[in-house]
Amino acid sequence: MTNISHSTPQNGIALLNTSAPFSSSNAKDSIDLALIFGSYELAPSLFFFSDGVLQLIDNIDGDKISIKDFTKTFSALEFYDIEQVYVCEESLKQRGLSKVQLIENVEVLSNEQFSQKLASHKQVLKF
Amino acid sequence: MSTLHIIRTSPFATSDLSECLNILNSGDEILLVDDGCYGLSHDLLKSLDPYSVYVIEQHLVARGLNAVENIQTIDMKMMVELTLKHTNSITWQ
Repeated sequence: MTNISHSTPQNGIALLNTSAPFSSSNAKDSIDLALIFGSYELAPSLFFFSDGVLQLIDNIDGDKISIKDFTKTFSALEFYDIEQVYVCEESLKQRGLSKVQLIENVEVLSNEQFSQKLASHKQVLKF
Repeated sequence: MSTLHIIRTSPFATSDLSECLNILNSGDEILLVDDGCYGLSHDLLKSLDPYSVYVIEQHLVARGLNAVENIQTIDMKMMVELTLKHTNSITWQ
């Protein structure tokens, strides 16, 4: 027996988003899954990292390139009790973005806070 | 002899843009399309003559990005003209 104790994760499901909105189907799959979990009262936490932060830019308009704009769904998250939305500050900075350019009700965290928050979840699904 | 380099991927997620810059010749131009638009805020682009870089306006607006000073926003018709202006084109994707 070792004495190393690992704290038990306190939270349920985390969805880790690292893809730009229209680069693949990842971003859409992730939000769809979030809403499904939400409807079963398993509201996941959403994490946006690397190119994933680009999904949260406020005035995205998929119609311009004939893509159904799923990013509008983000405004419905609170109706599914999904209120834990975390964004990596470092990823924003690298892309020349700041919080004011993002949709509302997201929490910007430092790298360290972000990784700790992520580690506090029992399951992590990466998109 | 000149080449139009068409960048289709995010330079933050792939190395396409930096690879392209490594083989850029004088007279070559760069066109940012699709996720390549995210290159507008990438440091790599700051080292370039801005007048040799173009971006498709439609793709920029769809991603909620703003145009950058000196980098020319163009439409699809002008994209076709650009491909004709150069001897060759390489699509980085």
